[in-house]
Amino acid sequence: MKDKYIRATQELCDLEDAYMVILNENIVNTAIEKLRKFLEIITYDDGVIVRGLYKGKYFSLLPEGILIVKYLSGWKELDEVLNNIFGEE
Amino acid sequence: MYDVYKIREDFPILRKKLRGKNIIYLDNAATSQKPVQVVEAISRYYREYNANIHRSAYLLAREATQIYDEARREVANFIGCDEDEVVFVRNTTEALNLIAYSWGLNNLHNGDEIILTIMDHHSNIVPWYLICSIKKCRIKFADITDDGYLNLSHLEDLLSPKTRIISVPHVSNVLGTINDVEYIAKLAHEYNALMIVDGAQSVPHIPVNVNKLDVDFLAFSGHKMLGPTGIGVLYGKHSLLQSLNPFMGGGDMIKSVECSIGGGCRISFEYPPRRYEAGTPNIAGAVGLMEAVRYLKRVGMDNVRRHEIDLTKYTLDKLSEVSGIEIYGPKDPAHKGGVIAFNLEGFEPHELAILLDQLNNVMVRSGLHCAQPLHMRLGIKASVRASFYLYNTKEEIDIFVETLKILSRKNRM
Repeated sequence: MKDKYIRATQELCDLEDAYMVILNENIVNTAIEKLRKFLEIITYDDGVIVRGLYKGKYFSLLPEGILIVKYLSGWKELDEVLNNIFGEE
Repeated sequence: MYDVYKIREDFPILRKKLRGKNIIYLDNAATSQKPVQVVEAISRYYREYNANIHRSAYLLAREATQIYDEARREVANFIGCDEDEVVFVRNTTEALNLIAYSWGLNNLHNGDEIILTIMDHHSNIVPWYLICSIKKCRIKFADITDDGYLNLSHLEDLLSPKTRIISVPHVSNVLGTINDVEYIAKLAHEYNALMIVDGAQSVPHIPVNVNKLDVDFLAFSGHKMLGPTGIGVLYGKHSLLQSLNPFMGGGDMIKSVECSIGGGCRISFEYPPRRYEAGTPNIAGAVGLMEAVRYLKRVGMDNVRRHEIDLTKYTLDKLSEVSGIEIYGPKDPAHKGGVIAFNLEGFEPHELAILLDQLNNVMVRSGLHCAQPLHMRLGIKASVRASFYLYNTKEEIDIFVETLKILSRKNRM
């Protein structure tokens, strides 16, 4: 189910605790709704940036469905949080 | 007269549109774009000259060998050395590793000291760390001043009879600081230490003459100076290259390999630079680099430098109008390469880089730029870096700065 929302994930330059997640273009809006449900929103600037926290992890959603997730211990934890958010219908 | 718009015509990628707009490529410290002359030279090589070099006797192979040797001469002429002082490698990183392993493994001893700087790229730290862990040597880091210059008096304090190497970046890939390598080379030689220069950010941007600087080794990459990826250069003084063991072994770097069945081997190595070029090299890459060097020579490195000083000054002036911006490194363009690292209040560096791209196709680097110790010294987790080259324009800088202003205002709403 996660793959339905996520096109690709990659590590961010040099930062071992941060990752970039590229959401599928065709369901960006649905994905955003899912994220908003889970995140404790700290910034909401529609069309520019949505920032929030989830279980101590920092999420930053940018236009074109690019999501930055920070403060992770590794790929496994990224997978876990993405599964929590996107894993259920 | 320097005509940036004429130069831009040679770079097909700069005509590319993304999101219906022009691209604004300000990530030149990471890699440069390639002029059509370089692209065509590589294509022509594969279409008309491709054969392995230094091996076969037929005409095509001799032509390929000639063109490869010609590339070496062109590069040597560009940095003011003899052709047998130019070793083709993959990139700056490989060149620095070559010195570390060829010289370091054979010449460093327990207790020896290597002086680096806190502004160094990881590629000039990690090879020495690896060698020091084998040879039980010690790395000392020279500090920077609060305004981003290398603290020369601190570097001098670190010198001792144990100093065997001073290795510094000519131009910092984050701060843009131009280090006085000619002076540091004098210091190194007073202590009978080697002077090694990471020229990845200098050779593409400022006139560099190794004889004038009197450095022992200089490393740089082709892809940052209009050439292709996968080709770089290690300059080494002839006497040093002559005295070292090879870094890698294989074909083309030996004079003879005599082995007996059930017995041992006796191997003698080629003279430099071939001693350090084991296996089939990146011939097409060398051809591309030769064309890149010719391009830069036609433009004139003094002109490239002047253009970048002009752009850097213009950018620094404009950036001073952006509220919440913090710029790292020297503010005097005369002592700085075309590299500006900064942060904008309220934005994570990666957020900012992505937003600059998404809003106006402004391409900048974000992160640590392979210089984590420097970021720790500056007390920041990461930064955004804009870096210029001979094809960037003031109009591009205007869009870059205007986008930052828009974001800065949004952050304040």
